[in-house]
Amino acid sequence: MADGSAYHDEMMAELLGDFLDESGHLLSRLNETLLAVDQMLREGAEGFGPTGAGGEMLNEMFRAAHSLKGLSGMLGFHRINQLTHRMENVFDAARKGQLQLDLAAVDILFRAVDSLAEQIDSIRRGEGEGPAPEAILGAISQLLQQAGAERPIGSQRDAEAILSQLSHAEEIVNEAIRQFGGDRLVEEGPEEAAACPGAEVGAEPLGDGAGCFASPKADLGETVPTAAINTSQSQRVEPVEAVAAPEEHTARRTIPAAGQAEDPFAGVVDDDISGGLAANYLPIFVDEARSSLDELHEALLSCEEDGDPHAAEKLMVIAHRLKGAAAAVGLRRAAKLAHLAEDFLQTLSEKRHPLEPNHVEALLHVVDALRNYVDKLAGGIQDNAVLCEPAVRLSQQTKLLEHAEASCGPVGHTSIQAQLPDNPTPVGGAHSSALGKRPVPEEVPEEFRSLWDQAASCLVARPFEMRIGYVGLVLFGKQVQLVGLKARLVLEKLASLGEVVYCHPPGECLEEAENVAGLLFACWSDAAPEVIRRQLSVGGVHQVVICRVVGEASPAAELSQEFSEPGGAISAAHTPGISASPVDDAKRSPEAKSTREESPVGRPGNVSTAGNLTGPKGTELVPRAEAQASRGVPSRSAQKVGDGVGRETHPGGARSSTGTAQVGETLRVDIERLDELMNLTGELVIQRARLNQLVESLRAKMAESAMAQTIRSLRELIARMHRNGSQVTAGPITHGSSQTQTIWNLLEELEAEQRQWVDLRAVTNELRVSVHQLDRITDRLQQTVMNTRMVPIGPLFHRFKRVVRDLVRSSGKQIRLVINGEKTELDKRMIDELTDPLIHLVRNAADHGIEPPEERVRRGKPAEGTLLLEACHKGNAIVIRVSDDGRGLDAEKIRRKAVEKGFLTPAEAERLSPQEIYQLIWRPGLSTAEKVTEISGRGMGMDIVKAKIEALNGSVELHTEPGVGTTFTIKLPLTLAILPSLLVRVTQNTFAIPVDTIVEIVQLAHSDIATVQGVPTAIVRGRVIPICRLQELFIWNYGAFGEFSRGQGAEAQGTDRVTLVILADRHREIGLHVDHVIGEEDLVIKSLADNYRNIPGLTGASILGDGSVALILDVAALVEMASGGGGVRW
Amino acid sequence: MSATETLTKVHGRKQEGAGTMQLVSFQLGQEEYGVEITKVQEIILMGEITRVPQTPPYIKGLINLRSTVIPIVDLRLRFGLPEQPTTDETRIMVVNVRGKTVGIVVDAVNEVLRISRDQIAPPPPAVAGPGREYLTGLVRLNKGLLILLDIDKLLDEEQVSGPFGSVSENAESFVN
Repeated sequence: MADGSAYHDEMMAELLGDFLDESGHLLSRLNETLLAVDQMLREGAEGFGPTGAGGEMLNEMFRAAHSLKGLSGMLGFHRINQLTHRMENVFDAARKGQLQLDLAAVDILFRAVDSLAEQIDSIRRGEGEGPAPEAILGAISQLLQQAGAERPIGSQRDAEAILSQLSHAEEIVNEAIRQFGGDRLVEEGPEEAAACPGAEVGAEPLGDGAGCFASPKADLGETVPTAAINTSQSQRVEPVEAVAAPEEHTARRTIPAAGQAEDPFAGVVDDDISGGLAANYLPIFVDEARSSLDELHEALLSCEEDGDPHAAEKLMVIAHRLKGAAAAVGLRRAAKLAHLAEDFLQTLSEKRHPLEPNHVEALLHVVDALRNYVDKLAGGIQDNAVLCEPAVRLSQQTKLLEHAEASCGPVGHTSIQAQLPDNPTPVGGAHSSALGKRPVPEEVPEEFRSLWDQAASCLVARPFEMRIGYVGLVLFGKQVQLVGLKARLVLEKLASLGEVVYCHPPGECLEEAENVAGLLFACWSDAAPEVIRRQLSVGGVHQVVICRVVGEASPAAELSQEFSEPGGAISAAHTPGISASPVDDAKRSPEAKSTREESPVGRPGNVSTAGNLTGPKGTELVPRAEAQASRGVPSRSAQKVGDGVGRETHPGGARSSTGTAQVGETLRVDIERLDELMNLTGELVIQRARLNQLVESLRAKMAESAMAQTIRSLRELIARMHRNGSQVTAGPITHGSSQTQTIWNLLEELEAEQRQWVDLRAVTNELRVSVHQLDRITDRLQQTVMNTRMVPIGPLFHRFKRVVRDLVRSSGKQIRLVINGEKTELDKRMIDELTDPLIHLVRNAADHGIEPPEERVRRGKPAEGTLLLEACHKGNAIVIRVSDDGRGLDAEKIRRKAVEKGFLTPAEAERLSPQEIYQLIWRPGLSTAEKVTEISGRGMGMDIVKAKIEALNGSVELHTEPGVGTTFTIKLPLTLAILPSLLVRVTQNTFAIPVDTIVEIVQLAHSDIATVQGVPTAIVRGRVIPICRLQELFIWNYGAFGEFSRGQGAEAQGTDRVTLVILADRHREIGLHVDHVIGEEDLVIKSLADNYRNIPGLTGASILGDGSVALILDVAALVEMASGGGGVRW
Repeated sequence: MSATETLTKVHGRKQEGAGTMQLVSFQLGQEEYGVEITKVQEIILMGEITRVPQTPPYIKGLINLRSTVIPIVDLRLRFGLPEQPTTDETRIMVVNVRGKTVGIVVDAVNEVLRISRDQIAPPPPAVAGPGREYLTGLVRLNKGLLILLDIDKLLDEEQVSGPFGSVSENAESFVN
């Protein structure tokens, strides 16, 4: 695949993006789990084994390493691949109990994780992989050798291990491809493959990867036989079936039967996705899978149209991505199906075989099934049934393809023949005829064999209404403490799942028992075997063997009946013997019938290994049901299976469907778009404020007037005048003087106008109501948009666990990290930007702040230092605190250092107060650490911290008390986009000042201003505050600037009061002389660098409600400029 | 804003052959200049400009162009010509250069014209005058000469090594 990258740069780039994304998650998972392990080890657990919580953790880490390995292999990052492979081996060995993880081992693993992080960073920077981490590889190898687990050793009973073998195989395949220029070994001849005992496995489910076992790879050779036996057993005993292709499928082919139809998912067990991490990733998976499926669908359709020669590679990449995504969330069946598709495509491309319509058909079928599956998953239902049929069909196609060259050579025959004699004959006990022939699984130790049948017969003797009767054996590990209790627990769990009818040793004497090797039970339950197995796998349990003894037989019989009905498409089933030679369709049907009918009885399919629990009837039933359904109603097949058969035959499945919560839908959005949305919302908010102002002023102007009253009075007045003049006592004015008449008429007009005015006022009120409505909506919109960008700070904080741990290890200090408020949400951008500053602060606190234990004890503090990371909301801001209870800053030391470095003259240094001295640490180039340690003290910390935080419109403050501790308080705005500001006017220019930098606004008389060494200074509430003016502070290189400063001067002299806005930056204050204060407004910051460049003293610009541009002042810079003598020349 | 409309139209059917190019010609003092049409985003009228401190004189300030803040360069001042009060003809030509949007104040925008590349002559070595280092060539037209302006270079030099030095230098001197 790595070689194929030349073709599909874009695809690879995308894949790379996914890889970088995913590897980040995986690494942090690894890191977190390792930390937990580290913690456990430290707390005195001697060694760390596969039991209890440890097992889950090991599995977790194994999965993470495994996924990383797969992804890196896919992209051709060999070093990462190599390293993750080794790590995987370590985890694997550890969870099998072959290796004890101790502190040293954890350390090596940490180093490995770091190395991986570096490699991935380097890839992210576009520099490709760094040099191979030989030292770490060596260390891991040594670790493995010591444990005698350099190679994964046989007895891979659990399904996951088989899966891991699968990817070993995959890797070898990849390697082989690289080595042999893309030609697969398989091509050299299936006979050769068959010579290897593992070759048979090549059929499925181990994928064609296993076909490459022909290459004598040592570490594989050992692992294969077990797997081979598992598969071959089921093959041998199960009637081989070829599942029908839908009727409309015209391209019928003779299928060389090499056992192609065993359960494609044998040995593939999904992780429990109903809880934990996987559930969190589920929405992401659903999302990703959908887009991948869309892509796949489109690619398939398009290559059907134009027959792109590289179509297979392209499809393969998508299928692989899908596989990775599914495997990452533990949906191994879906992953498996995608894997099958990938295999198929790989075979295609290797054989340089064109993509034929029937191939496309089969692949589309897979796509549909996966889509169906994913859709159901999104609805909270995990319906594995839909995946089976397309899988079977696809593996058929693969096999067809593989045998295409050998035409109809008796390939399958050979392999089966070759393999048959190797098979151990089933170790059977006495068979109860009622139960059919049920051999005791071979894992069952001798001591329990005799009891097995007894247990089985108990089932028959005590029937319950539950559907399935199980006989099972739980084997406990050797030297497990309190094994009796554990056995009791197992029994209770069983009882909660169903009705236990038999138990050996008996439940009553379990608790006292000191040495219980295993617990044999028989029970009735509705649960699926995998559910039971999962439930029973408690700490200390070494192995669980479960057999379905009673139940489910009749549906199978029914189904097989339907199968043989006429009208079906190629419904075929073979006994192994017959399958050896290709048979045509016509001949096949009757055989199928006969085989079917006897199958329920004669099938010893219940021989079930622990990992192969899904193998027996439950799942195996489904493909048939599915096939049948699809034959009947092809278009609705999946639906039908999901609704009917799937649910009925899978009580376990149905249960899990209720267990899995509804998956929230997610959508991946470019953060740029969110930024844009945020900005637009910001502007809307600002316009709303303006609208509010307008409405309020309108309302004020439209205030209830006395006009109506005035008009009435006027009218009366006129009427009276008229009466007086003409002596007419009553009635309307009809014959009055024309003047009075005119006034009367005018008054009438006025009255009409006044009525309009009243109407207008009503409208204004309505407007006001609607603006209020708009207000609320805008608020909510802003809130929502902001929320979309908010992520909890927790993950960022948790990263520091590792930082602190490393520090603890390297420095020998004892530090307890306390995290508070991890749920506090911050803008995503801010979280990203905060990482570096916080790391600096945490390191400083741990390295310089907290004293070594002896010193702490000497000072009467607890030996263990406390480092507190805390986040909370405070008003409209987010406050993040990093504090330690260490020795605090040493003012003397800083003073000395500052003089040494030439920041201050000795005289100046003497003058400064301790608080002022502390502020010097923000200067670049000042490090107080006497000795530069590995971790900090490069003298580049604090100034960067400050710059970064200020770039986020935040501020950082320092509070320190010698001997008690140091606290850094970071204050950040809730959002980056909106800045509450005070607008002030200086001459004709409007400036905005961020509100949180303003201490107060004062008005002083001119007489209150004195001059100190040429600097105008005011005394405000006892503080001496230098006054500065923007006209002087800034350089106005503007052609017509003269008028600016002169005009200002005159204006300022004209009024007798001076308005000062007092600004503070880190305990230094200046009074900014402004002409007048306009008011407060929320502003959307527009960067000047977007279209121009950053300007010292300005944070940016903003567009005001009236459309004009205002400049936002950078207060920190202003204060700096002012104290730098006011006249820094630019 | 007829000029904008014309531009849009021209952009719309712009499919010039290899040998021709389209220019926007504008007036600056006595001279006529030309800028490749692909660089020009739109042409707007002079409006209120917010002055910005700490910038060279030829940066007239900032304007709000549909919610984007863009700087305005007075080309007269940039070329060392005397400043001229705004007239009815004065326009701001909004150009896109290396992802940045900048407005350029010109005396007037004349027309959009199509020239063939053979019409372009290299700038005479001894041309002395404003902004000669930004000339890429001369175009002989019937009515006279058109000066081709390298707008990228013009604005780029302004931004990278303008009289105030680079941004980072500023930042440093700032802290010490």
